[in-house]
Amino acid sequence: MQCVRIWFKKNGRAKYISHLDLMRSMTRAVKRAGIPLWYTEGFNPHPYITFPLPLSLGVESDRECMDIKIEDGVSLEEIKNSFENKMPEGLEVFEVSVPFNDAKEIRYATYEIKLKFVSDSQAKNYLEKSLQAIEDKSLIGHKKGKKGKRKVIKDIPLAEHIFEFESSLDGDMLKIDVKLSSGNENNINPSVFLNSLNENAEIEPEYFLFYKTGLYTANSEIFR
Amino acid sequence: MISPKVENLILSVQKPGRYTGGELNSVIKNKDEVDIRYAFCFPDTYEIGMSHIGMKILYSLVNERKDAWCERVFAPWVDMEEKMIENDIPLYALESGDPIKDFDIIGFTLQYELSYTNVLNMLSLAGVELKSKDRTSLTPIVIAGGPCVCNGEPMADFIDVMLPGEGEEITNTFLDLFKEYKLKGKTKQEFLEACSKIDGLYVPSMYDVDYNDDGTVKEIKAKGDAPQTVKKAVVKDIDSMFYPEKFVVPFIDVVHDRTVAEIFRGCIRGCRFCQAGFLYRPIREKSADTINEQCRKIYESSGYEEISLCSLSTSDYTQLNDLLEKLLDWTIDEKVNISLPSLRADNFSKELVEKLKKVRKSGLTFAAEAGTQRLRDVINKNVTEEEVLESSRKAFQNGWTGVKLYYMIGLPTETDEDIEGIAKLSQNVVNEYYKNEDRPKGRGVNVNISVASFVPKPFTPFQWEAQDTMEELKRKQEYLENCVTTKKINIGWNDSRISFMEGVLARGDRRLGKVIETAWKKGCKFDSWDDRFEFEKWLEAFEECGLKPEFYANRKRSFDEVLPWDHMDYGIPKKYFIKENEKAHRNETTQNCREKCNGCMANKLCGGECDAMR
Repeated sequence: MQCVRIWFKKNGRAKYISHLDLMRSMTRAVKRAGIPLWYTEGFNPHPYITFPLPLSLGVESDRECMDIKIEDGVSLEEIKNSFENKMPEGLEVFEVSVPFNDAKEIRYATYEIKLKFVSDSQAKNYLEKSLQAIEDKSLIGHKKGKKGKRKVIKDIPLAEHIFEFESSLDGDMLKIDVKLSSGNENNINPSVFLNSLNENAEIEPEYFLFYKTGLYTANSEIFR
Repeated sequence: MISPKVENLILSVQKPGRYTGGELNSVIKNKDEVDIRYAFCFPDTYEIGMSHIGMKILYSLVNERKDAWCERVFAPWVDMEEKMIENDIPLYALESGDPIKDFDIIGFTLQYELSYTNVLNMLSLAGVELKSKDRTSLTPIVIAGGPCVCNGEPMADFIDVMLPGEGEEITNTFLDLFKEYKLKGKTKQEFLEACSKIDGLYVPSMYDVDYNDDGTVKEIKAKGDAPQTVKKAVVKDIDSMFYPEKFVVPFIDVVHDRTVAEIFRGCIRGCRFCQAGFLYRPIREKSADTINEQCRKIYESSGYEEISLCSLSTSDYTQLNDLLEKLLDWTIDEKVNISLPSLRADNFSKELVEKLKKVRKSGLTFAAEAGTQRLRDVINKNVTEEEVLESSRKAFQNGWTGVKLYYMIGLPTETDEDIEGIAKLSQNVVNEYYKNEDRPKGRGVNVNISVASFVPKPFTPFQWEAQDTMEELKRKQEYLENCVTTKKINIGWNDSRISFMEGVLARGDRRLGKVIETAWKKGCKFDSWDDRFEFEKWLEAFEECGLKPEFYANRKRSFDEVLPWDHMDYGIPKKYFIKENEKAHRNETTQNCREKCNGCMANKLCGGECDAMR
């Protein structure tokens, strides 16, 4: 048995595949690819498939990964090639590697957020207010959570979770590059971040697009 | 591709995956390179429609053609519908994202009566006129198939052409004819007249219906050259019949998301309540090799973890052991489960149990249908109490700790004794569990009984019978609840109001068109969903249209009454149904078709062949 990390893209319509659905879709893709999955032993055998960091619904990414356990005797190259023409639209396997980092080592994720506003002035206004809030460390995120069985909304100060913030304005379009806390302990969903900006600026963008651009470990090395 | 307008609102509705398309094996073509654009509409949610095998077959069949592109359309759930209307987004097809009003053909599958309002709702969301007579140009032509078109009269105002029977061959005949008429620039009327002359196509507007003063049908008259009776389409050889090699694999969790193999068509049993058992005659089996090969191909192109062998009565398939042998040969290694729905309690063999145990254990369901032998004889469900108990015993001995039992209430000639029988038989199944010495220690048994309300359907021996009133069904439900004294038996019910409305529409005539339209205008849709069904609005719609629903549901018809579907020919003559009805009232059973041919005449549809007699 060997554990391999499958790297794939999730773009276009595929960004609407939720995490649970992605698990099922990828398991089936592995079966279509004819990769010899390793199964847990016991009464109800099932394959071992995990995602080090699930991607939020509606976010595109060029570098997602999942870990699977497979039988020995298949090379990484063979695994990669067997996914050819077996993937649904928007999902594409581009690399297969031996896991280097443990999923627990993930600390940061970087995102690119593209926003379009109804007017140039609104975009400018939005950016100014956002920059001020970053400076003041005043952004508050609303995160869905659970208290026992009850669903609650938790307010969390975002300042300690925002590590880089860059922006560029082009007419009514605003592009934001941001580095946020990520991983098991403190995961900040980019839509939580965006909602806090919207709330702070009291402006709703006309539309927005999210891309995940990278995953990093504690010493800001690329997760691989 | 979905439009940016749709993208903007899609994250604000439940399950965006219903509306995006882009699934594996969905077919994308260049719209400029096809002559026919076909919107295949399932009038219910994505999750239900994507579970339907008929849609998969016809989708692939049409897309095999170079000149046609078939796309899928489902009823948007109410949250999405609201957003679509708000943002001016017409109903679109999932593959191209194009509005279906610009398609050549809009086809619906009518699988259950309570989806009729959804058909109207989808046409309206598409921006297409509801009524056939108000759509004057050839395109889009609105067609419908599925079991409900055996009596499609309630939908006659809305559908241009219906396709009674099996679609695998007639669809191509229809498309060829359509293409010819479209390219020649012919009118819709010319096309409809041409359709009406072809077996397997029914054009409702080519028939006039007259009524007697008492509301019954007086006469159904064919117009022009249309035939007096319309024959259903039949595929003679199902072994060589088209079957898809690929299924569209949904991203989101749908009801049935698995490889499906149809193992045979028709049913040898002749249960008198069962419409499917008569509509799909004669019996035609696929060979074990064909099925095995088809399953393998679909598995390889989908990665599905389960295969379901589908038919009306799986254990009646003559090559079942052979087929399971062939399937298990590769499915065990691939960790693929096999599920066998529709097992019969009377031939649930030891070998079968052992084969089933090799794959992951699924639930077992036995259809007893009625509580006493007398009533089971009336409905010709030739299963004895001992057989149900024997099957349960085998299941318990093999490690199952629960079974599911199907029953119906409201059957013709039913008395309270028969209702009590349901409780008794179920209790005896519970007792079987405790008789088993090897049962798991400290574990109780679960017997789930599902009790449906009987709805008389066209093309069955009970098509003349009165359906029990809602009050009577409610009383019987309460009575049964009082008869069940153990917590080991869980009872599941149908809403008797929904069964009532199903019964009304099933045996309805053309006059119900305006009732359906009125109910829809009042907001009725997703009527088969318990939480969306609005009975009061239906009653108001009947009131406003001056019709009584009880006339359709609760009235016993005489054998000489003209039935609204008398001009439809499904291969079994009325006199056969009359004979069966009379036997039912004498508590007499009819042997299954394999023991003895009972002369239903359906074999004539296939040139005299019927696999029950092989």
